[in-house]
Amino acid sequence: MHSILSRINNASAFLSSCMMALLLAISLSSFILTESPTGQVAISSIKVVSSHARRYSSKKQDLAFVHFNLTADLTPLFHWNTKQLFLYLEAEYENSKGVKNEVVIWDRIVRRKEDANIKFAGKNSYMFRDISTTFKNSASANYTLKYNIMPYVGLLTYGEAGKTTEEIAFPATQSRL
Amino acid sequence: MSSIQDLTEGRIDFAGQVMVDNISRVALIVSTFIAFCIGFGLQDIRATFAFMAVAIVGLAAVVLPPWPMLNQNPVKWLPVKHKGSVEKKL
Amino acid sequence: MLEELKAFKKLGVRHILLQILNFATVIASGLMIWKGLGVLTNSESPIVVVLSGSMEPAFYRGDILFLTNPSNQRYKTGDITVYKIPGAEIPIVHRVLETHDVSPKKQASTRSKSLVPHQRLLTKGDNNYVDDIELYQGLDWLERKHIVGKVRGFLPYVGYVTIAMNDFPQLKYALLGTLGLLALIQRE
Repeated sequence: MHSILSRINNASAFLSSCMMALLLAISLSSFILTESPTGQVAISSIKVVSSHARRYSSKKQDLAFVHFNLTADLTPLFHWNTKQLFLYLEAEYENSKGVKNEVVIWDRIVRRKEDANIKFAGKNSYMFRDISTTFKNSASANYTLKYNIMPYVGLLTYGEAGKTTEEIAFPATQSRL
Repeated sequence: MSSIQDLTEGRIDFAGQVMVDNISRVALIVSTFIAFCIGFGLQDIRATFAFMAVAIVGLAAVVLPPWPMLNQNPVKWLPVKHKGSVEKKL
Repeated sequence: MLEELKAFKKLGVRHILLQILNFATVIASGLMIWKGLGVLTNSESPIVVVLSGSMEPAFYRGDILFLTNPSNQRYKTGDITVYKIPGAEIPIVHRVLETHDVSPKKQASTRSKSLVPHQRLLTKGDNNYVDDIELYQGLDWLERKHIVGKVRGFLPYVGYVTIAMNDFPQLKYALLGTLGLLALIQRE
């Protein structure tokens, strides 16, 4: 402690311990600040079209076009340790071969509390297709609005903001849209 | 060379070292606590780290330079004994 | 110089051996902690530094991620995974976009009864426009064996030092230089 360097050394060693404690406290504080948001998912229409697509481009495969309405108030999820929300709409179904599928068909990054009141009407932004190339005889699907809270520091948490009230069946395949 | 060393070294006495140690420990613990409370109260993580930055700069200004306050108790060395000569009093 | 050598001799062989032992202990305990974490999290590298910007604004270069890879849990959409395709040099951090749990009936006869769920995954970087098929080097799907772990915890910026050292080699020399200078102007 006699020279400047040794004082810097000592103080910064203790500072790093304090910083670790502070970061730990911040990350733990997000556990007591969690609240569950409310939201609704409504599917307005689904069309299944047979078409060529990037994967298996040699074969024709079914593509689903889902139109939906989302309303959700995610403002309670924003607290001091929320860097951003990753919001996504997921379709969950079992296809004719017994494969359980979860497919994200739409997502959005919410970075500010002011943008967290979600009102969205539109269609899937990601290609929605089945691993067996066809939706024929697939079981009905559940559509769930999920979120992932990404903190400034600490653990990533996941949750559900809304769900379709009943399972929605895939319609028969059309040849053209 | 030795003047550069004096300038960069910033030597303080033993009592000053104890004081620096105590000040920096207490100040860091207290400011960490306050920083957390400010951030939590305002729900703004930036406020936490802004407060920490200010606290660190302030602490560095108090603790790092060899202020006269930290050099008030210089070590009193025993006088040099010369062989054969009469002991001089300081 | 000679005097220093003499002082070194005065310390004796025992002291030097003790120093070596201390050094070895530090290295061994570091390795032990790393490998122990690996066993606990079932991941070959439980702590990674983000190297690319494809997950911005979630993760920036230099952020540190803590991973786990629980063998009996399935991966879900929205999970952020770190995966390594054989043949690719660096692991990639991307989010799961699709999961397809291939039915266990078929597996039971052909495969050993492992607890690891058989899943096919498709991933995408939040900051990328398209999914990762181009990155899979000919594979159609990502499978469990390619996955290093899923991101559980996050610490910003701390890993940037390692990236900065790689990006700007001058920084390394500057650091070494200042250390050397400090050693010179410091009194014993």
